[in-house]
Amino acid sequence: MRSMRLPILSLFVAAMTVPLACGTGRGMPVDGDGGPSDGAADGGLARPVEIGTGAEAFEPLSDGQTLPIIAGPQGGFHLWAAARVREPIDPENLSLRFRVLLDGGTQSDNTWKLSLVQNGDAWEWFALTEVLSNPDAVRGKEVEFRLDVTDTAGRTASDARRIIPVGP
Amino acid sequence: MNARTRPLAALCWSALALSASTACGPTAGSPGGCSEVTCAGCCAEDGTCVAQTSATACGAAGAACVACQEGETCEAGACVAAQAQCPAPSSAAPSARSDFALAFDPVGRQLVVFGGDPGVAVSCMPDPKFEGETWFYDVDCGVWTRSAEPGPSARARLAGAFDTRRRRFLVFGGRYRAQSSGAYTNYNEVWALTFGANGSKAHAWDPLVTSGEPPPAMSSTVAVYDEADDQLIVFGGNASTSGLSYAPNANVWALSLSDNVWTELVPKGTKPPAREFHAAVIDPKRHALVVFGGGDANAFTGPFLSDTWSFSLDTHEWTKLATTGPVPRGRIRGALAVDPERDRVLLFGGHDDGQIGERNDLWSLDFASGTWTRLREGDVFNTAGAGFCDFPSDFVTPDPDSPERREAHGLVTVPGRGIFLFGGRSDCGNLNDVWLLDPETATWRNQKPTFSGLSCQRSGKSGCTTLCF
Repeated sequence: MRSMRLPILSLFVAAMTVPLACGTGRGMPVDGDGGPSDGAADGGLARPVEIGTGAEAFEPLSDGQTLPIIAGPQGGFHLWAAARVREPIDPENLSLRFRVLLDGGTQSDNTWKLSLVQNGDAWEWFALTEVLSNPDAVRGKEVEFRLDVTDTAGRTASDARRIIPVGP
Repeated sequence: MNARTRPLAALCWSALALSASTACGPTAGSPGGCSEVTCAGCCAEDGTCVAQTSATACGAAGAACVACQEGETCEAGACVAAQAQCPAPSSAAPSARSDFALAFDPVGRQLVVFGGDPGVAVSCMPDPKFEGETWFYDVDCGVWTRSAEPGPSARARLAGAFDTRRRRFLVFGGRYRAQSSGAYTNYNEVWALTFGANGSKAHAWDPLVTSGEPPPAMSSTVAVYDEADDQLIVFGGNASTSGLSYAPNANVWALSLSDNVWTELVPKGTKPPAREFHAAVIDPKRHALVVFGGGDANAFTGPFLSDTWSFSLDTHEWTKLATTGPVPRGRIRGALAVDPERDRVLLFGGHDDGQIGERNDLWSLDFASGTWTRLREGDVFNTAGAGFCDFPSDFVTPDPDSPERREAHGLVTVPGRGIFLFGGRSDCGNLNDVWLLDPETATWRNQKPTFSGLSCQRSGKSGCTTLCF
């Protein structure tokens, strides 16, 4: 399967109008119809939301990538989760919901509300602990690692990758 | 819409600004007849219009061009103080860490961080690791920059101080091991990170060639710069290379920075108990080293030290302070910073031997009276753990206006701004946040968030069931 990425964009046209009037439209989604898209492939436009990983910086994820399961300070196990958003998603008090899904079942479901940090033309956060309640259930298996964001204006966007949790 | 800078909006405004300046018309070179009618910029002595004004020719609406003074730029035809040229916002930062060396470079207006321990405990068991990076934090722009210059090898639990006479950051001691078990290598070398002249950001690390009898190689010591006598003062520390025992001392050494000679300062009278993991500053008015807390040979479990001592750098006499009144609970790995305007020193955080462990309380010690006052209580212990490494999410009632509870962090005074806090170790990992304390009001303001190390309640996560994860 070419891609299970699902940047399902539910973006309000009104929110797009002002920045588009300013010029290039870089950073804008190419489709606002709620259907799947791949911004990177559709003309090289940056996606409004991107799921990633990383403890010290945002690291992009690729489909099929292995991701280490990390032993936590209090005996739990987690994946490092990260998010990167661009306009029109408002990075202030952004709701970030990460999930690990396997065969239609939810293996982890963690939600944060954060004000993201600007890095160039994007806003990001990393080192989020996607706690796995049962790491044995996902270790070595291809799962969907999914991010859904909702900003304070109600704009939503999503992204997902197929990853394989490994170790420890 | 939030108040942050938005790239597209910024682009739009830039375009508008560009259009406006273009509309004003670059007419420089038109001979004679320069006036408010013909010139949107300023008129040079030869009667030409300077449309593209600058610090050397500044003015507007056909006024005579003037040269701005040093430190000024020409903005909209008027000379104004130059603003700091800040780099673009970035999420770049040192990795979350504890046990580093920190100081303030007053000329470059930057915090300097070297080394540290980024290791995160696994199931509450420490996992020491070591950094050899040097980072700078611009206190005006709020931006981190990593040095590309080679420096000392990776180490943690070292001490550092800023030699203001020579504009250089000095580090002493520390420990390292390549494996995850076995003996540590302790250091007693001194390295200097020297900055360029005239406020230059250029810098280079060099080992200091010293003579005399140096302190033993050790970690978890303190080093402070005594500007009055131009010397680096080192007190106490742990000379053990074992991770399972401590070998503290109670000795004071001075490294004369005019000739790089080490001398042990033999004290008169009673010495404080030997210690490591303590904190110290210079009391500049009384020319004394002031020391608080730490641990002795039982520093794994405590009880930890809660005593406060002053060592006169003139008479070499120790005096015990704070013998009456409240005192901070005994702790290891707390941090002190001088509040010179109020002639006192502030204590933040550390690890106590009570129920709460990591602390985020704030205290002040009045230098003149030698008495402590609690300024902020910080988090309050709430619910005990169910067992080893099994802490509930409501372990404490957080003080949301204080930084996360922590130990082995850095605290440094920035004159005119306040006291900066960076990093440290929490129950839930390591931190790399930056906070600024207004010492007058005991108010904290977050300057940079941490990406890790926060307890679940502080992390923005919903549905917390445990303290960490």
